[in-house]
Amino acid sequence: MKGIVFVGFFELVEKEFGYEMVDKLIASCNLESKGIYTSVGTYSHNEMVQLVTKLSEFSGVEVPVLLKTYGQYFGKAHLRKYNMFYEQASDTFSFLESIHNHIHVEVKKLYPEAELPHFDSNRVSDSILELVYTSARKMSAFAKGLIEDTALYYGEEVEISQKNIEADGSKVLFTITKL
Amino acid sequence: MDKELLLRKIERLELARKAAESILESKSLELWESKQLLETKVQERTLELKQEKEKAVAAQKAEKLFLANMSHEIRTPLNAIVGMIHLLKETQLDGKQGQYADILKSSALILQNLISDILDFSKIDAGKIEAISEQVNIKTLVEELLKIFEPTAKNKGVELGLAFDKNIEPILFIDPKLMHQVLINLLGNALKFTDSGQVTLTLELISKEENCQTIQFSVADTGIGIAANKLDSIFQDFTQAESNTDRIYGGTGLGLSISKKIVDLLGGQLTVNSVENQGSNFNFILKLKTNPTKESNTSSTPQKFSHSSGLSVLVVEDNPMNQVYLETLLDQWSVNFEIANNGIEALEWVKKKKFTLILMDCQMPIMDGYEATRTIRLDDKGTPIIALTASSMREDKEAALSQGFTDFMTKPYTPEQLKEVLLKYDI
Repeated sequence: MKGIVFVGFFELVEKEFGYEMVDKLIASCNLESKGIYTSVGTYSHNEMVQLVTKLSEFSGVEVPVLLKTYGQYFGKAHLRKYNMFYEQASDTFSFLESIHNHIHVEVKKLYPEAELPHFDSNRVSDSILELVYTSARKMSAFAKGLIEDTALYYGEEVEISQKNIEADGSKVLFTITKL
Repeated sequence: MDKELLLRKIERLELARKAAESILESKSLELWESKQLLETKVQERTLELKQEKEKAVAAQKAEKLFLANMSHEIRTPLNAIVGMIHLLKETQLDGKQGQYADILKSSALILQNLISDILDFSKIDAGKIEAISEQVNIKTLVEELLKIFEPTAKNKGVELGLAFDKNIEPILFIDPKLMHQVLINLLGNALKFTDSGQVTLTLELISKEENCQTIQFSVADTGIGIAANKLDSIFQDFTQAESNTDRIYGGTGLGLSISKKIVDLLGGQLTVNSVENQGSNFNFILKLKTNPTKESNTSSTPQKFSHSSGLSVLVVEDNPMNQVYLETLLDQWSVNFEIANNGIEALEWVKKKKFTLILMDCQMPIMDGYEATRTIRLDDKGTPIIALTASSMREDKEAALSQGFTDFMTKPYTPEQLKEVLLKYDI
């Protein structure tokens, strides 16, 4: 998993719970990286699982809620720096549709080793888009947070419903409806 | 935040910074390497492209040279054939023999036209033809041109007409040779594809300014016409409207393409309107300069030789057939001459005797015409030396003139052409 996801995660934890929580997470998880993350590095996905699980345990907030909140924060604080991708799309739907064929192609050029989630899209009507998230990382809640931030960027109000296609959460159908 | 926590934070951030730096270092090394690789690839590709371009240019040159050489090779024997036919026709022939000789003559002429078509085409493409501007009586030019086609038109029962706008000032400046060639092509085509009705050449004044008039030239026929979907392609090289056209009507498919190129060269644009089975109209508009002051005095050459005894011609020619041709003609005209088989023999003759004019073949064994001419010119600047060559490339002509030749005659030449040259230098 790209280091930027870890760096962003610690940023949000420090902002919401204080640096003590970051320190506590590092001390209580068995991290190969020892919590020394840089945005340009790549780290085991397992570390993120441990960190989120521990944070849920310490804070009492459920993992999906944590992930979705983090997704919203990550989109706003980090992804929007890559404004060329946002400018090329005219609205939430066209941006989401461009992830697989355009954005991820460019990401792969810069980080050939990156393992990216797969997004298949299907425009059901002018106001409904189906997006199928497929990833062994099972972080669909994080993806949902990102989708919400995308709609926020384009100033659109959307309703997102979520349904597991695979019971373990490795394949999830999002139905996004413009309101 | 307590001190220890702060220290741990600082230590963690410090280590992260170092880790990031080392990742960035290796990333920039990767970048540098891929930049090197790209640069090498660009250099390789540039070199490849350069080589390919050189190859293509060389191939094009070779093609041009091949065309020039082929035309040279074909013109030399053709010269002998045309010459011999002329001589043959002057002997006593019975009816059948005369008929055969006529067929030989017309076939040789067709062959000559084909070769000059192919040559013109390659020369225009190579940018070797330039339009010159000469004072011409355009009315006389087109009238004489139509005379060439009268026999054919009569035979076919096609009416051949000229509509010359009387408002056109006939004395104007144009390249007569190129003008001739375009109109011959267009009229020839019109007659070729018309079996009944009319072929009309029209010259119409579009506008007149001081020292300049704009004229539309058009050749209209009532022939087979051209299908609408073929109109675009007829000006392309080696293309005829129908692939079987050449089998029925003959031709290289170069005529219209050459005409179009020539009209371009003259500053116009050749266009066509045509309706299948009703006829075609080829036309172009040229803006031509006029000179109201005087008509050029087209030198009225005397039709008889004014030679007196003691004056003679040196014929330098290695090909025995061409020698016989020249000998026979000069004998007929009672012109004294000597024959030299190559440049060395020519130099020997020049030492021995004073000639009025030298006819010099350019390509000969032992010593060629260029070298012989250069050597003669060391002592003798005055005697006209006429280059006889199978090459009709303009640059060859220029090369010949720069070597000291006085004039230039392209093989195959007719008796009339030779006579004209001899008269010009007043033998």
